[in-house]
Amino acid sequence: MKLIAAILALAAAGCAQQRCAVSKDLVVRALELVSAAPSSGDLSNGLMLLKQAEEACDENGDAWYYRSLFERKLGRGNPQYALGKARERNAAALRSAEDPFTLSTPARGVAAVAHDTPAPGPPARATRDYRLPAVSGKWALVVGVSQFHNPRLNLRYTRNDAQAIADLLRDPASGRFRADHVRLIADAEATAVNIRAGLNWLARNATEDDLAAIYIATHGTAREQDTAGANYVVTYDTDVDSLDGLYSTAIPMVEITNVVRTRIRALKVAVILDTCHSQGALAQTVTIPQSVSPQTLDRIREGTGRAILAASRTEESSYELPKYSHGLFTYYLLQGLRQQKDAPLDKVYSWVAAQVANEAGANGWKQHPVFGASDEVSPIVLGIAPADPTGWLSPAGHRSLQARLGW
Amino acid sequence: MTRLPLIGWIVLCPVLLSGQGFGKIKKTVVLERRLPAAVQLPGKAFNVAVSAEKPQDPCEKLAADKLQSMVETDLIRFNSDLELNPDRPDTLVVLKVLICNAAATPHYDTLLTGKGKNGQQQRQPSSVTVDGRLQVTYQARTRAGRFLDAEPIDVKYHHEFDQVSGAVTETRKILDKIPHGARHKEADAEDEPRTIEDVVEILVDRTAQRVAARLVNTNERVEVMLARGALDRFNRQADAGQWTSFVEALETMPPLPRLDDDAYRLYNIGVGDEALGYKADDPGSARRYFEQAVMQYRKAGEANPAEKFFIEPVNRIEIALEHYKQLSQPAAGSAGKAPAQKGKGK
Repeated sequence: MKLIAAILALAAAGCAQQRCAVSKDLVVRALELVSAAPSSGDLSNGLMLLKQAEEACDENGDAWYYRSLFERKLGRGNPQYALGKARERNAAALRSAEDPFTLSTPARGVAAVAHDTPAPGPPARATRDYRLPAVSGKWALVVGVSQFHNPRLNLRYTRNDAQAIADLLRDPASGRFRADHVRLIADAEATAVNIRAGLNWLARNATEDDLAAIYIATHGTAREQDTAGANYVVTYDTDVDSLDGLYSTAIPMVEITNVVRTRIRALKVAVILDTCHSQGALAQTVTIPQSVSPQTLDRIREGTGRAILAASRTEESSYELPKYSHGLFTYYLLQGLRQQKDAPLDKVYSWVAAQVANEAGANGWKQHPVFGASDEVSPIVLGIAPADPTGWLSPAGHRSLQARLGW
Repeated sequence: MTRLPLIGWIVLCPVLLSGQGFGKIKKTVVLERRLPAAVQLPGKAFNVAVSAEKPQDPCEKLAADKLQSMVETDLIRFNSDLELNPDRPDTLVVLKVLICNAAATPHYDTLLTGKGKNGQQQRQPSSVTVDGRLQVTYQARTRAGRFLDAEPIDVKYHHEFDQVSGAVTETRKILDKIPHGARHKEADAEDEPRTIEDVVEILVDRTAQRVAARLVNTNERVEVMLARGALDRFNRQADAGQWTSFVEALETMPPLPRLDDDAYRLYNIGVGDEALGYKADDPGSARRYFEQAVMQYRKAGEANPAEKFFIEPVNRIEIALEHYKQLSQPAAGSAGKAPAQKGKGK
């Protein structure tokens, strides 16, 4: 039915720009069907969506590129032809060699088995035992948007939330991240281009032995009313006055999940999403506030050492409290991380979830944070000290210590 | 008796559709030809001034008169915000007719004879070639005289009407107006304006379209022929506007064994690329599709030089390509910037 709806939307889209925006969304829909072990039904549906995407906007090189991957996976069609077309169109996904079918870490099941039988373990380049919390280095991308280009979307405390998370991570007493290993992107800087650059920075720098963290506090939106879960993350410069604008300028959630699944090599990754804020005059825009869907949770959990923490269930909102000058979820997350800096993320979650549910209930709201992890054998401890003893120092402190020790 | 038409169709069908080509029963498809304006107008008010180099020449005079009203109409038709204001125009469109001619040439390749009134045998033309040409200089400038745009426009009309073609009605319509001797110098001068009127109107219409396309976004429905034969099975994708699938089917099928047959496959790919160009999201992509289309049309022409229908699309697309080339260049298309090596404007 959704496929038919997509095709109808395509038929309704008149001009070239609309067609190309719809085409981009069709590619996103196809990618949402991808997993490390997809069914042939999902692959066939995905392929159909990609062909529709091409028909809608022939110059959409990514549609051609992903089609070549789907055809290769299905073992039918003419992947070389599609790849040639992608090359002619200078497809961005081809340039960055995206492959949504290949995880950057061993699959979840393999990792779970590895607990008892070490045979199919983590990649050869990892030198640490991923079943232990220890890591070599720690990297974090923190995004918070309170002020949007379209002021109707403005939120009150998401920037504060992001700033406080970044501060906590850099705090030698709590987060123990090196200051220059935490990249904060907030408000007007939080454009789609900058966030993508931040994700690339994380993927490029975090090695197998490292811990990578992503925190995003902004609006999340479903593509249509009957869709459960956020398909798009709204950035500072997202155009939310039309669906075409949304498809062209927001970051698809599947893009973020694919970075985590297929590009970040670190065997410990924590993703924290606070994306379902109901504040702002959203009724005047095309956004449909949604938290992450169960499918997104499942997709991020593919692989080894992946954990995702979301501020609320799919159908719930994420509330902000003036008395804390923070979102409810982030307020308690900050408390939890500060108080239990050596605890694994699932333990921190248990405490945060209880506090958030209680306080939301006391205000007559419903908000239940959710948690998912790829396995139970690779604990993620955000506050753990990295193996590099000076890892948590600021660059200036690092240089000063090096000078004093004569390194 | 009722079976006769069916039998006739079965017998004739392979004859009509056999081999590659456009066939006697032409297959056409309509393309929405969108051309973005090449320049940005400084305001809504405009005026059109048309003159002829030889005002005493009936063809030039007729063309100049018609051109004035057609350009005005086209500009307002494609951009309803514009208004004709001869007193205070923001943009002045100046046109000058340099060459105008139209003629019909009868051919007697096959002798068709009949009895004349006086009992003598008469020769009747088996076909007629109608030719016409209109050359115009065009310039657009602001009220203050600042240059906006200029282009020499040279439009040609050439059509062969033969008695066995489907165009016989159109042939008769034109032949009625163009007596066989009209093109000859000794022809009665009084007949000339009347006989060339239709051809001149076609030429003026095309010229006005070219002028309008420089100044406003135009949208024109162009009927384009599709090659038939073994390629027929793909043409329904073109009918449905599924140009990506259409091109893919033609590009991935094995080339036809004979080069002159395969020319039609290349031609159809060119049509697909051209259609994708009109659908494209940005000028850069459109330009790339048009370049591919021109390449395919030219390859088709090289593979089968005898096919005259491969020539016209190249002319059509080169005009589009020129627009998109300007648009895909930074700072192009802005008012007041003279295109390099363009125009003969005064």
